[in-house]
Amino acid sequence: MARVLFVAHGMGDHPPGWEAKVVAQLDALLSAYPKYKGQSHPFSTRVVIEPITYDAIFDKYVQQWGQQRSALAEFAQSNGMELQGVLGLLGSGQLPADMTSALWETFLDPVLYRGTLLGERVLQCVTDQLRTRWTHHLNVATRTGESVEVSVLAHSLGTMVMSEALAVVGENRDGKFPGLASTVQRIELFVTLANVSQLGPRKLQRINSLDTVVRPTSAPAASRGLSNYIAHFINARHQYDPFCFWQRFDPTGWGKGYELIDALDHFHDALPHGFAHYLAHPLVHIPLFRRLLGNGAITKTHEAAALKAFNPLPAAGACATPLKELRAECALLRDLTTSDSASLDDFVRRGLRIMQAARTAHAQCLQLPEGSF
Amino acid sequence: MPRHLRTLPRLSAAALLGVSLWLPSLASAQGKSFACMAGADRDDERADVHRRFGARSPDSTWQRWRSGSTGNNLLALHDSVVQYWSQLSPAVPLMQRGAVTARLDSLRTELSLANAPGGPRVRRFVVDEVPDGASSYFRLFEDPLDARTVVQENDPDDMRLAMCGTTHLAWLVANLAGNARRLQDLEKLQARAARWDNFEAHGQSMTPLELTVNTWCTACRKRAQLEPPHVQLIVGHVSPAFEINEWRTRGARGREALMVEWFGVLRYTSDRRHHYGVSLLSTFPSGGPSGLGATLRWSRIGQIGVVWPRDNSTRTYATVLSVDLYRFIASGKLADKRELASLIAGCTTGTKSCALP
Repeated sequence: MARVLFVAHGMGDHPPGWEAKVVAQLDALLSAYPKYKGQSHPFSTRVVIEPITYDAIFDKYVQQWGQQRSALAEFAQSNGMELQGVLGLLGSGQLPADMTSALWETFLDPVLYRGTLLGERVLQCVTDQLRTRWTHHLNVATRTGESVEVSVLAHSLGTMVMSEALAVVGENRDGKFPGLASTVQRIELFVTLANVSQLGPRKLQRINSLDTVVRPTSAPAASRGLSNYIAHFINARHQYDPFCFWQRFDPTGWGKGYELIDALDHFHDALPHGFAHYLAHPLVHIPLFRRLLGNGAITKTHEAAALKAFNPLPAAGACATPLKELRAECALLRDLTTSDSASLDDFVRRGLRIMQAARTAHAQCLQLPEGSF
Repeated sequence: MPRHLRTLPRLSAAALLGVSLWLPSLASAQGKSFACMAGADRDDERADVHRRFGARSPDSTWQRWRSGSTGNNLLALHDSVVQYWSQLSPAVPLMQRGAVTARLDSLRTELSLANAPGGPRVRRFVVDEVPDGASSYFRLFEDPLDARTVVQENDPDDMRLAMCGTTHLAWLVANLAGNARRLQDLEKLQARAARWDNFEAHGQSMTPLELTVNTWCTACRKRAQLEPPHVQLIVGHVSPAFEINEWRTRGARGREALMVEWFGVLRYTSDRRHHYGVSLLSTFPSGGPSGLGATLRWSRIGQIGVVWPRDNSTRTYATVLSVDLYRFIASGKLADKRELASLIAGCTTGTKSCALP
């Protein structure tokens, strides 16, 4: 019970038990390496997985709005009233009718997190989960005589949430729980996939992820005289992931404890942003396995073999052209982010073209999954 | 409601109580301190440590101490670690002994400071595995500059046990010292989670506009402490209501109305279970003139207010009840049964049915 990995999900629908897919993938990936060959659950028998879940908070509010909207419309209709003008605007016009579509489910989460007090509810919920489970493992250790090493793996919106949650816990910002602060404990490994912790208007950023104790011990100490919280920080981003084009999390001078993995260019899904899509690449999962299970978990030879065997475009062949076009569209959008003359129209147009190219790639290459957020 | 939404209240309250007895049997899930004792390339380091060192292995030693007379006595446990170290330290070169002894001394100082927030600096005794080409070595005490506290792959077994085993035991003592406080502090988290649960379950729902406005109101909550709002602003909140004209007289007439609260303020009790407040409102009854007035709210019991019609056709005021208050009254929970009878009579003789959605 010593190696504990907290996993945090990104945008979209993540009901309880969502982590099962991630665990299954990590087991499958690890069992492909010679040392673990033939073992069905080589990862989950060595590392305790603790899921962090917060999606239900957003869902609860959105669901409530939907219900209120319907109830109000029904009340007005049954009593011969009309919801129009200001009444309509305030009563039912604040939200579109279909709040359950995948698009809303996906994009409303970060807006609600960044822009409203629900972000604080999420942080309360997430820090409580982290502190409670960590305390549990430390408590068990006092009986069993083992030590506890805590790591965190976060994806997309989860990187934003966990960067802030770890800052709250590490700096004891809420003043509620000094026992897991960075002066006392540390996080062994923090892995961020598609780190979007800097994304969004500065004014709305509750905590600047570059200015907290959530940095490796090799980095200059954060302000306020606190110890840095993370022993090793791995940050992976895909070259064509549109969510990593803007306001990148790009610390400098953080030393050997910070590892940036930015050579990812594979397209196993039409959308290269997914949690599983990131983990699939050996450049991502090998450092993760080594840090968690020890340097000897995967040898240099086996690493080289895995990288050689990894096909960045498994759906190539008949799909080569649409995939090439999709890549080109992503690259154009990426270039746009560095252009001074680009207008909002350009970004919207380019974004729509990426979606179109992704759809075409998915349609023409039936074996290529759409991908997820 | 989707299945996963129903689990939300449990997410906070139950998760806090989730210090369960669930203990999976994970033979190989040990930390780096066992790898430091056994060697980095072992798959089941703990078993390997037991095979090599038997009763001297630190986890067996720890369990023996804890079940013996030292029990929970931190200073006695620390003395035991020092004794363990003195027995094994002859296997360690003189140059490296000083670093371990110094760290043990600093732990004793910290243990003596009973009220240090968070307890002793546990992280000092975490063992680091440092990749070194195809191999790796272990660094103790989180100090990259202190070359004396490094354990190499080819160091003798007894030296490895002395260095890594002692560090591991020191970690256990430091961890135990902070344990009681941590368990105590969980209660604070539990109380805060309960306040959020109450706020969401018993508070006034917020529309997207109100959520935005209340987010801007930084004085309405303690943001840094991640507390739910203690003051809530109401802005342009539309809800169904019931308007009763001349309710003092028999045969009062009631009619459904839409109520818009233009602006209001609610104040919550400390546990966020109850709230009260006032708001300015307009009513838009079915088949009648709109009215302007004010309303009072008490928790989920509901709202009662008065409005004056905006046209001058009638000079009397009307009483406005929120639908929840109407339901409350109709369910017979109002103390004054005579008033209730009057209200119900008014409703039943009205032109429309009182059965609201």
